[in-house]
Amino acid sequence: MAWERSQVVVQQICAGSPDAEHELAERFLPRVRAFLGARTGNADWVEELTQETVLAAICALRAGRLRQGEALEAFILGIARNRLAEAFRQLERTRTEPLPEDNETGRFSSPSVAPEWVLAARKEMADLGETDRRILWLLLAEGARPREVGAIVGMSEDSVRQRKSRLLRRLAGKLGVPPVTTKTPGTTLGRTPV
Amino acid sequence: MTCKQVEEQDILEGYLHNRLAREVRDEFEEHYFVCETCFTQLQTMRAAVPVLAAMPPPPTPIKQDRWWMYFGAIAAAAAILVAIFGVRPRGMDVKAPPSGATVASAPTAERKILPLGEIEPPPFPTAVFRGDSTTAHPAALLTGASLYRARSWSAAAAAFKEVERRDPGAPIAVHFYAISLLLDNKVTDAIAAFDRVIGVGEASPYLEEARCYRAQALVLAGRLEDARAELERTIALRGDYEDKARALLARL
Repeated sequence: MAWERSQVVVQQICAGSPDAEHELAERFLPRVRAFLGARTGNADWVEELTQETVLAAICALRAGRLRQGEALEAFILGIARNRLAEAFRQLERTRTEPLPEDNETGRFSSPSVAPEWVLAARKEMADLGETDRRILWLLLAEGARPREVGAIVGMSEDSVRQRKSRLLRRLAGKLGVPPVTTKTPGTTLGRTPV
Repeated sequence: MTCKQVEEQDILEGYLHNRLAREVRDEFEEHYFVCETCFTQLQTMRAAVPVLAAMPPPPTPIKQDRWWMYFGAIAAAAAILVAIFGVRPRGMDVKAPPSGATVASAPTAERKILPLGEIEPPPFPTAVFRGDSTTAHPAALLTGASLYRARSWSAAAAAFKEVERRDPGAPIAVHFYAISLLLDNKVTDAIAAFDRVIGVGEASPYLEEARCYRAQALVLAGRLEDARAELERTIALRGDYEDKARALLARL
């Protein structure tokens, strides 16, 4: 379901409301960050391009460039994709060594996760039963597929999926919605003068 | 894309591990920009991954439906009975090993140079679990890897052999088959398996490791001259095993 407040927020940004810009940034910073983190894994790039994307989105909305009927989410994702593509082009222009073949992969170090979430997740993992921890470890840390995990822990593929969903829901409930951060927590572009 | 598809097709894990097709990945990104539930799940996973990755591999339960697990356990129990009490189940005759014997019979002196317990298994590459495997049977390989990490050498060797049977020449399977045999004290077979890894030459990512471990197998087999030569070849590769090979060579 699309964000219910998107139309109102867009109108308010057009009208120059800093609060609306702040609200938009709060909503989309984590999404843009997750997208860029998955595409590059380079923490410096992620943070820089996240800020640039949301800033560009706010500028575009202020200028009324969101077309009638165009979804706000797709609009912002489009900006993020363009920024990322431009960053890769720029890197290619300035490179002195060949780029890896697939430079759109998370082959660099993962962007940092807020330390408080890591601590909370560590506590939750420690409290999990052995089988549950093994399932999550195989799925998330080792990248095994449910079929492969099932073969190891002696469960059907569907049981592994169900167990994983239940564990993640429980974990999400304990953690809240974990923001994958930000080197400078609290920074939003909605209040940045442009 | 719908939330149901995300769940049924393991899209979240595929996204985290970068194994989605480009179109699916793009669709999923469009989806989570809109969908609160899937975005929450994605963020939860992203928080959990570094924690899990920093954890040691959880031990593997011995309850898998694999014939070799039961066979291995029964064989081990029988061996212990024979060793302790000299008792053998009826019909279980002690026979000389067939030609190409699998059990090592190294002289005691060589065993003192390098006790089997001193041989440290190399880590199993985690890239295999992320879809970088060169074998067409990742599930079987994963089972072998899991047994290997649990140090169930006999069962791991059986699993890797099965991978190799299905996918002849899979370098990772042959190499870890050889390592598992060595740690299971089946030195002669281990040497033969290492020969197959080394036979691939520079193209094998396991060449240096195989040479170093083959040298250790040769020591256990009492073939000290061959072991020295193999260690020198390991050193000549100037890789990660150079120091280890030098240290072992000094002991011979």
